[in-house]
Order: sequence, then structure tokens, then C-alpha cells
Amino acid sequence: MTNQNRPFVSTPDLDPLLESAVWSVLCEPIELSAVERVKTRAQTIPQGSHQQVRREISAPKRRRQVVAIAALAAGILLVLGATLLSTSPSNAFAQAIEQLKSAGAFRYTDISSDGQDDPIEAQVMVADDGRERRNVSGIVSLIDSDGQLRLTLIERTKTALITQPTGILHMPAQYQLRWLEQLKSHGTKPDQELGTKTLDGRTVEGFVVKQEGYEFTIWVDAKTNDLVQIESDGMIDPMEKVVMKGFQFNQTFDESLFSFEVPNGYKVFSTVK
Amino acid sequence: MSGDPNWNLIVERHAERVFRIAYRILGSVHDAEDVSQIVFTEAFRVQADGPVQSWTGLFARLATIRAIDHLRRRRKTLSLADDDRVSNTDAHEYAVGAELAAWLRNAASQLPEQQAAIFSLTHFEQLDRNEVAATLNISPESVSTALYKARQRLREQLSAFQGVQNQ
Repeated sequence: MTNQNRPFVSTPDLDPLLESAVWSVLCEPIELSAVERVKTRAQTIPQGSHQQVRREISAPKRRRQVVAIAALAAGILLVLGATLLSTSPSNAFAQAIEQLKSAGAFRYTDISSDGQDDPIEAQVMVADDGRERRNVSGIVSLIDSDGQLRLTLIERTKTALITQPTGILHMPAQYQLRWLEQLKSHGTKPDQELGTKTLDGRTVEGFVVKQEGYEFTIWVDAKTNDLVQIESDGMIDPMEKVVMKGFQFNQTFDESLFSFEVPNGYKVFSTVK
Repeated sequence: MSGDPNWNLIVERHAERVFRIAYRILGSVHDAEDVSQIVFTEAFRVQADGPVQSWTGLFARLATIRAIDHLRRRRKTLSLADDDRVSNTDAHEYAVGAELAAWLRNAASQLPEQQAAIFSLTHFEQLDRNEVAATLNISPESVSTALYKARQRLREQLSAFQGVQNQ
């Protein structure tokens, strides 16, 4: 059902002048470069949607509060429970949560799947001030510490899309790291223990955390107590499954990786009106 | 994502059509790009809620309706200077054609939404009656009735427009 190959056919139902007006519309050439721009922008939509999954908390202020509370909780834990933290499975959970609380700048792999499409894998870097850099198949999104998507870089076409909150197509404020805040604020005891299993060649202990209506499954290395994997349902689409793995904490990133400046050689498109 | 699991492929297949429909209705590359993005965003959300039976139909429907919405909003904000420009005749054939196209878009935006959508899909996208009915999920008879009314109204407006032009 397309008119691409249909020649314009005179319509007897139309007056000649009305037909001329229709003809005038149809004679206007379609700008192919505009179609390419449409494709480029539309191909970033799934990424924006996944970003929308874990948003909402307006960020830095609350984050600082949570970090302060977390630090206090960690201090209390250190004083009261140091001797307990080496034996039971829930201590492994507590240590994993502690890793998140003192994560600093970190990186991880985020894999989203709705069970029908191929999973979408994002390589995520998080600066210690909350800015994020997400790379999905060469499409890099740079998100500020308020959770706003600011710049998208499409490496294949050397295209940069600048997004501002005032743009007509602006998505609501998003907060990628909501899962982190939720886990940090949960406390040091899991809601459920799942026992052990082998995951990527490692023996891991599983824990379930229920927080603010969301449920997370956390897998922790049984030997080292390192956080191995976090699983959750999509926060908008319950059919979506999110797996976060490959955590590397306390990283040192080059500041340029989080810059909102467009690199040289990129074509720039902006949704700013 | 039912039917076609690859969003990039869906975009690749339908972007030209979506843009074309929006551009035919709006006559502005910039506005048509914005509407196209809105359409793809909306379509992505639709598929998240359940299987899409016809991507072609979904995109044609969304593009037409969203472009008409956009055209109506734009018409409300047209400045006096814009109106003057539209009614300023030029002997040059290209200018006449452009003016007719601008007139038609403006007139179509004043039609009831369904009539505008049916007229656009029939004459700009050149779909037949059954295709329009399938796209808008209405009966072929409703298409015929609405199309008749739309043409009639446009004829009346065009007569008035010609009268102004000939003065």
C-alpha cells in the first residue's frame, strides 16, 4: 500500500482547479536528505525508550542525600557488624550493596530484552557526578547529572543530535540510575535469599530486593562477595527484562568521554527550537 | 515487536513514506521532520503495548493524523504577514503552483479531521477507497461519504479563493 510507483492519475471527481492544487502538492520534490535525517533520529528512539525505563527521581540533590545516608549507614555497619561480614550469605549481600554505595565512577553492561527482539546491549560509564555515557552499537548517548539526554553521537554516520529540555521532542526527565538509588536505599538485608548457582563460570549467591514497587535479583560472587549481576523487570514495560553485569567500580575516566561538546567532523542536528 | 523484530529495519522501510505523507500535508521540510519523529516515537510506544498488525497502516494513519494536527496548530499561529504572503499572487507558474498548494493545505486543515485524513490519503498518498478504509479502520462507505463532503467543501472554498484572486 504505497503510492511510490503510482503515476498521478487525473481524478474526474475533482474540479480542474482543485486537481491542479493537488497536483501542485504532489509535484513538490521530496527532499531525500530530510528522509535520511528522519531515519537517523527515529533509530535513536529505542534507546530513548530504554532510558525512560529507569528515570524519574530528580537527581543530584536526592542523590547526595541518599549518599549521605548510605555513608552513615555504612559507618554504623562498620562499627556494629564488622565481625559478621565474613560468614553468612546475607553478609555477601551487604558487601555487594556496600560496593554500590562506594562505587565512585563506574562502568557496567546493560542488556535489555523484551523476549521478542534481539537484546539491546549498552556499555555504560557513569562519572562520579552522575553524568552517563551509554554506547549501544556505536550510538552514544550523553546524559547529564539531572538525567537529561543532552547529546547523541551516531558514530557510523558521524551525526550528532543535540537535545535540550525546551525542544518539542524532549522526553520527560529521565534518570538512568534509579536502580542504583533504590538498591542503596534498601539497606543491608535482602528480602529473600535464592541460594547458589553457577553464573558465567562463577559460583554466585542470589538475593531478591523489593524496593518502591520494583524487584531486583542480585547475584554476588560467593568467594569474593563482588557484585556480579543485577536483574530487574522493565519499569515501564513489565515484559522487558534488564540485566546489568560486568561492574567495574572506582574507575578513572577521561573527562572528554562525558563532554556535551560535539566532536569535530560530526554533522549536527538539534531539536532546539 | 511483532512481525518485524528490527526497529532500524522498520525505520528504514517506512521513513520515506512517513516523511512524504507529513510533507505533502504540511509543505515544510522542518515541520515534516518533527512530525515524522513524533510518529516514530508514537509507533514505538504502540508496538510496546502489543503486536502491530500492519506497520504500513499504522504509519500512514499516524503520519496523516499527526500532520493534520500540526497543520491546524500552525494555522492558528500564522502571522498576518504569512497570510499576506499566501494571498499575494504571482504570474509565474511556479508561484501559482506553490500558492495553490499552500491554499490546499490551509483549506484541508479546516476540514473535520477525518475528512482531512481521507482527502490526504486519497489524493496525496493516492490510496484507493479500500486502502484508506483499512488505514483508518473505518468502512469503505464512510470513506466515500467523507471524501464527497471534503471535496464539496474544498470546491466551495476554492470558489471563494478564486473570487479573491480575481478581484
